[in-house]
Amino acid sequence: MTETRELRIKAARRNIPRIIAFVTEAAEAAGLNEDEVFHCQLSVDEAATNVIEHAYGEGEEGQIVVNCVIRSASLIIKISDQGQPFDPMSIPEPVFSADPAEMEPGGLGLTIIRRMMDEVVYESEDGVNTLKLIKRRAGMPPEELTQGVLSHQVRPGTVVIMPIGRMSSGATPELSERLNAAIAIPDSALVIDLSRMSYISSRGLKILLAAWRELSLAGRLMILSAPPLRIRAILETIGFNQVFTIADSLDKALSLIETDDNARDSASEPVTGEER
Amino acid sequence: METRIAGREGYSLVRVSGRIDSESYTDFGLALSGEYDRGMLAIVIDLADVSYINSAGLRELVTAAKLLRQDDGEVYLLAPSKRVMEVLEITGLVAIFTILNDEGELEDLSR
Repeated sequence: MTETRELRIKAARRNIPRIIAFVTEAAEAAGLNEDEVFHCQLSVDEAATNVIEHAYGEGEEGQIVVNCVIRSASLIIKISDQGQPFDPMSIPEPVFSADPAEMEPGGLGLTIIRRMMDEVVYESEDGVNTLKLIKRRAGMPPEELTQGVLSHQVRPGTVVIMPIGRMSSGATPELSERLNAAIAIPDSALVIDLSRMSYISSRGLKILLAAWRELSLAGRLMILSAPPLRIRAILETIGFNQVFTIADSLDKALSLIETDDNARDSASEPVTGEER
Repeated sequence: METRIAGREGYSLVRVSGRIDSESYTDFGLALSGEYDRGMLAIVIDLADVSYINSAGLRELVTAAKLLRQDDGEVYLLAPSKRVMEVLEITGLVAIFTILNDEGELEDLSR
């Protein structure tokens, strides 16, 4: 899943709230959590402020272009201007001193950007300066990773397994190993995030089915999430969509599990004496 | 952003709520320097209801701390919200401020 959105706006301080609102929507669409959305808001605030204050001089009103690439678990934000080139990565981090007279809090905004974003890249080419910021959902692998099976406990008892690339003979032992490790966590629920799986062999499908069978016999949940079209077609052809719960996004899968957990908690609450 | 200032025995209490951002940081700075100009040497800034602070807001905090320390005064941050605390931590500013966890700790300032 990739979607691109763009905002072109006058580089003026009064437009910062609009820029932040634009990025907030994109960050939410990318499935980032509340904290991660805040990190994007603040970083873009700082980056846009830098463009307005440094790239364009006093009284000079250029344009700022904010381009967001929304992926299933990450957001790429590109902030471009046509003002003075200024590589924020060349500025050293601020140094604080116990002696207040020596405190020079310049560079604070850049420190915020560097700490809050997963990747920061600056480019200046043909008169266009671009600061590229990447924010990934917690536990999500970099886009460059093209093969492997990742496992990540998003909260106690909920494990997200992400098969990346082709799940054929070379990769199925790893898939089965990750599934078994997750199943071994008592009462855990599993989400198999398919968003980055490009292929699955019949052996891979059997492994998924076996894991699902084991979990559902124990009354536990296993949900498939965000299958790309090709994978969804495979699942539908063999009727897996009748067996598995398939959620459109990782978020939806996680909220299904949460709802289920809450239902169980309230079901197991002891009945108080007064109600008799 | 909204600020409410209360003079207390031995210190000024500045309660801030809302966002300290590019639109409000100047007012925030003025509220702090106003207390210094009145001769207050202890300013307690209640940040519990601040939902957002950017580097411009942080600079106002540092500027106030610098001003007061010139005269042996001090800026105290009271119960910073989760968002504010995260920003103080990642910028390293947490080390230069005295942070009070709750209003109970204010009693020590009155003595």
